[in-house]
Amino acid sequence: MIFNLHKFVLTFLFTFLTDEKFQIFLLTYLFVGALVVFLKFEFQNPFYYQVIAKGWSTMASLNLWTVTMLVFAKVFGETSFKEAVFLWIFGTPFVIAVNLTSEDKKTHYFFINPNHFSGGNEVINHIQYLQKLINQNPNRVSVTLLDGYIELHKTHCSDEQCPCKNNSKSFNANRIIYNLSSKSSILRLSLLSPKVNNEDLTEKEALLFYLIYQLYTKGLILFPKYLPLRISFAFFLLDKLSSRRQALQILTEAEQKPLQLDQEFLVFRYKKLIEDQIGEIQDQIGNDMDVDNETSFMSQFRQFQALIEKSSLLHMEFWAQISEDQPDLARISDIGSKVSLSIRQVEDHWTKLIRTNPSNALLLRLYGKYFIEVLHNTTKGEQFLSK
Amino acid sequence: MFQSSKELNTLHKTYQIWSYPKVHKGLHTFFEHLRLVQYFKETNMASYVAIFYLLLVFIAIIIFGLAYTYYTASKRRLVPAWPVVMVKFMLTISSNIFFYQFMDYFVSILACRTNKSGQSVHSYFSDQVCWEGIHLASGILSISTFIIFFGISSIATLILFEARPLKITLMPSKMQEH
Repeated sequence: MIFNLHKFVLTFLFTFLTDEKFQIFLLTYLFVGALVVFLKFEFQNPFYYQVIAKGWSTMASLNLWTVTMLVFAKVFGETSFKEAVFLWIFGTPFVIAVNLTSEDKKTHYFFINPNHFSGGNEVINHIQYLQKLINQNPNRVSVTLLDGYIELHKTHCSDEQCPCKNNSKSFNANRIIYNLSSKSSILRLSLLSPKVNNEDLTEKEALLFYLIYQLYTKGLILFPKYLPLRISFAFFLLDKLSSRRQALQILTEAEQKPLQLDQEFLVFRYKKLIEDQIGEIQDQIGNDMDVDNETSFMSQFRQFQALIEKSSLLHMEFWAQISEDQPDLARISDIGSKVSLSIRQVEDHWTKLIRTNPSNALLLRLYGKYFIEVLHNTTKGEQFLSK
Repeated sequence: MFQSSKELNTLHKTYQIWSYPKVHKGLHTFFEHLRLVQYFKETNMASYVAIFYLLLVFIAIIIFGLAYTYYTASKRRLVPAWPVVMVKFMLTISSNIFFYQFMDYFVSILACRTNKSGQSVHSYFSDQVCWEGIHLASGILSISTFIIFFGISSIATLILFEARPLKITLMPSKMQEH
């Protein structure tokens, strides 16, 4: 955008300011423009794909190199040194080579201790590199780096509930994401989204998503005025946690602050897309529900989720006790009665909810999964899922 | 490299700053070939303007395609895939690869100079008086077109290069069907 604007202004200047007396002004504009474009590409690093980033960075450097040499030729050309053009030709391959062979700039940010970030830009670059490692095909380097990152995080993590510190087998992928989702009532629904509930999501990936979430929240506390971080967090919530509502909330917060034109456009566009999609989903949830009913339904639905979570935990505790070498019968009996009570509570809540909205896909899906994964009643669970 | 070409070829020969004619003239000739206007400024005003109108048609197709896509999407009808793909392709090439060439051509229509008799004539065609006859119509069209073209290119740049890949799941579901 800024580059196109620069080209647009240049086209005008070079077409209309044809007089020799404007030469100094043109050179000054060329130099300032080239410097701004170079700084933008070099330090803000706006491209996610490394090849594209390198290409643009090379072009911006080449542009600045050419303009610098042109200024050099203007200053010294009128005196003794007239070979600036050779200097330009000689230096060009070096500028290209330096840019193409330089290492990924984000690597540097990746090795910064998360407790010692000095700017929002560092947080974004750190997270982007982490996401790049997660997304790329596993190789020895990426696996080692990610394992090392998790190990390192254990030493920095001050939260007692941090899943990195918990070695229990019960912390599977969905459990971690569920814990993450439970941090916000809005995020709870994200558990049901197909992407987060994807069984292909490994425990390590879920753990890394958790760490990224923590990095963003910590980053936002440290650098509340750095808007690209807020926007980037909204995209993370949208892409990885499929939490449209929280992404929308973050984007709305960002919109209240002074934004640059491109950021404003981005926020406006994604807010519109998310709102449209939420609208479509709400249409699917229940065509017959009015707004008041829907709000009350959502609140009841969240309670239902909490009951299912409680019931699942009690089940896990019950089976853990039974599988011990010397089970404590009194404790088993105590947990067993709690399990029965929780199952009854879930059933009661289910009856209430299904009466309000009999064809709700989210509800049926959750209850079906509860039957299959917690109660191990596959037949009944599949009946609900098939509905 | 279009940027570099701009530095090397201008109407008032900024490239001469290099002060080494044997080399800078060669570079100048090479970079001049990246300009679309270069191939038509040696012909005649009619051919030059004809190409300008062809570019206008190109921009008009993009505008029409955008309007059509917007209309069908707002009516929540199914949008056939090919106009969307075609408009996206045309937008991508015009706002990136040919942005400078298009803009240079549009602005070059307005480039006038004063001849020996004090009359304002076109920079490339000295027999064409500025702001008269065909130049008046072309000039007005040129001003409106480069304003619209810059607006469209900016929006296309913001949409296509927003530092993250577009998630198809965020497209309205009616559009996803195709």
